[in-house]
Amino acid sequence: MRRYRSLLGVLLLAAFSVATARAGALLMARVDLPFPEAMAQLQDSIVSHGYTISRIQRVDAGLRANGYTTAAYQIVFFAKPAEMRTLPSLDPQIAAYLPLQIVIFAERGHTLLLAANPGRIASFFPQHALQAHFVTWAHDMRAIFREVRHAGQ
Amino acid sequence: MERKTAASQLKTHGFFALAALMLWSCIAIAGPGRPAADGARLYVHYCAACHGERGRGGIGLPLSLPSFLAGVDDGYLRQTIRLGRPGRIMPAFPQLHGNQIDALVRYIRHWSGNRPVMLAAAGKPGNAVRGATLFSARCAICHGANGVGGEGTGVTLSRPRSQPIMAPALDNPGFLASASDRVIRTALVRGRTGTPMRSALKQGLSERDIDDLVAYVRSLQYQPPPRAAAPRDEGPDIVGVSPDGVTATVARLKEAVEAANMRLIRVQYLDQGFVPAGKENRKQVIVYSCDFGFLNTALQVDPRVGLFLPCRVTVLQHHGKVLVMSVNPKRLGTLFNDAALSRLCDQMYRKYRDIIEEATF
Repeated sequence: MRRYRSLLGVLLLAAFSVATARAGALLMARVDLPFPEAMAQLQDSIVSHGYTISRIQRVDAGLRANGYTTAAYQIVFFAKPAEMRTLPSLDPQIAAYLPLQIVIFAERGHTLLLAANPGRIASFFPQHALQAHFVTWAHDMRAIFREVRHAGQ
Repeated sequence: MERKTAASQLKTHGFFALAALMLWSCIAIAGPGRPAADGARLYVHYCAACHGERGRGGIGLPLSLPSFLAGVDDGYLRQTIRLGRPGRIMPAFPQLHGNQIDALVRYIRHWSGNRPVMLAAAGKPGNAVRGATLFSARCAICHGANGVGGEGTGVTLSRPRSQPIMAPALDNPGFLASASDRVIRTALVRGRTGTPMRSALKQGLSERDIDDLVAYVRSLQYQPPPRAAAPRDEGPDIVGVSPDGVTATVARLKEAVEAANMRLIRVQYLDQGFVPAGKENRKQVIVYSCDFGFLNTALQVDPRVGLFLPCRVTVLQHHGKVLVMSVNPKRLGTLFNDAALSRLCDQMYRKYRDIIEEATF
């Protein structure tokens, strides 16, 4: 049984490596919704996948306050509370990548979503204990992007 | 004994269930499968975020522009999808199979009503040396010296732009491998209506001048390719070890941020917002800051730079050590395929490193 488990583990890691190599380094989606509606959909979708939104960084407000012109440009930070508590203990260097973030910005009547593909960030952290989290994040983020995009169709 | 066996079986089944779920996730991450070569679906999945749902451009070029579609053949489109533009945002898509690329090309072509492409007639062998002189006088103002291309991304009304589109990098190995001499010649002869690219003939150049320009552009493929990204052996973080406790280190970090002419935005616990107020782990703190002038410049180079925002440095106690760390912009920059952004990442790296060194000295 132990031999099968090891073999399956190797196969899983290989499949994940192939999948992440084939997946794009960045996740991007164009949403056919104005910014406020897309932002509302994004927050709903993040929460529906079990994450908590801790903060929305209003980059656009900061730029305007400093005299620059910009369209709506914000960043949504989110994570699962249990992961925020436990993951930095597994590898403190992952703390710099937490919470997770999705950039959302307006482009004419559309809205763009952007995130670093957790599948690619996984390669920065070789510890096996973290890999399952990256798989889940990649899966969830793709689903979130898909849901927000479909909301605009 | 039986209970132990049952527990063991349950554990095994659970393991295989988890394994199956992970395997399914990996397959899902890999994207659309081989048989489903639906151009519209592939376009939405791979292209629309940058080029727009209807190909009107965005971060990427306006693919549905009639003058563009009339002036490039299918081979150009196929190779561009396959190879991308190293260091110029447009990624390569080696994961797409031939039938998927063909479906994408058909979909892109539908915007022109599938009108046949009529390339300009083939020219004669030109003089690249003479072409270089003509290029400097006529083309370099948009395409840059030696054809390095314009800076920044394509059409967007989100921010002020100096031009409606970015002039392509003619020295890019992806472009040179995609564009035949006739495609380059067609752009010169006809120009691109709807962009600043004007017909060379209408500017008074001769057929011979155009042949020389084609020879010059073709000669650029012997130039070294642009640097796409920083080396991949960079660590994921920039890390320093502080001789002080967390509170004193955060105080020094705030001073270091201000000394670096960054605006301090806020200081908060890493788990703030995830646990009830007052229950946060006080040994894990994030310091947010921003250099808005630099940010504005970076956004004009590449609006995807938000993934680095805001500048944040984390102070964290781990196994008795106080670590001060930020993401490593050089490493994160490898995700973007943007040489211009990589140069900014180098600047960001130096700034983060200096701040962390100052805070942990």
